[in-house]
Amino acid sequence: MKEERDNLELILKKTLSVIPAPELKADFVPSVIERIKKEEKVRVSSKWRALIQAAIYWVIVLVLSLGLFSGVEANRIYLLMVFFITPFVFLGYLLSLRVLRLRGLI
Amino acid sequence: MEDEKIVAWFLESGDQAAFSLLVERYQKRVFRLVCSVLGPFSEGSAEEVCQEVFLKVYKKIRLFSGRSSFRTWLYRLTYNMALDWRRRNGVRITGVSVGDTGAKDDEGYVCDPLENLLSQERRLLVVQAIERLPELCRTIIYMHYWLDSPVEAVAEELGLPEGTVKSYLFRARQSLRKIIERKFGQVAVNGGKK
Repeated sequence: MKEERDNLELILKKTLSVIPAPELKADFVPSVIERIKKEEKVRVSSKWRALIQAAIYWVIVLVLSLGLFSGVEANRIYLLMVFFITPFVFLGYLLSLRVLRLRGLI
Repeated sequence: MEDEKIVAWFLESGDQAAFSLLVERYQKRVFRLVCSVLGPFSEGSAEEVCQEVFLKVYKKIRLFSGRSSFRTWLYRLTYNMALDWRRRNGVRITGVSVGDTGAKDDEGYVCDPLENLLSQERRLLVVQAIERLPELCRTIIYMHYWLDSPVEAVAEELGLPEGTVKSYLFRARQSLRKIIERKFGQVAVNGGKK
């Protein structure tokens, strides 16, 4: 039993030892830091982009709502609702993204 | 300086010098762990996976709660990411990839062609057999026999007790013996003895 084990160990050692062990490139650390900097830039700009998109969307919704419903008496409450609720809708959306990201789900 | 202090320094100041220190300290170990998960013929991908690991560490370091040591957390993250990469991309071992390892004898001369061919065949068979092992067994075999890591180091990097690593090694050898015997008969493993 022990001899069998020794034989197999020998086979494994002999077989795998000739395969060269890999080496990391000397510039690995700077390349990681460089990549982190790039990702940071992308992340910041995508945050701004999302915020600007949300603002444009909100303005469009407001303008459309004002244009379509301002003439109708019964929709004044609706307009107020649009005016006050939409910021919370977008903030809620951004907040939920942040929560998901913090929990590592996205 | 202790890892946890460096992590705290990085979290407080966001100073990239602190993060560089962590990368510098763990780059080799993380690379070896990735290599042992991906296997011997994915060196290029291993470096890419390693970069991904440190990038993820940078993004998620705020989630490090300190319940385990930073090292354990980092190794666990590395193992999971390397395994994910392997599952997504798969690894194919062919005669070509196993063949060219630049095998030379002790004096630096290239071995006899027939001997070389036979050893290539044997290498292919053994590596293919290892690839058929369960994930953890395969990783342990590569770490121990290919990268020459002692059992204690394997245990530390995989977050397992030493006894468990030894028992995985035992089980892996048993499975390998069965796989090789099925292909080549008992002679291959017992060296011709009955």
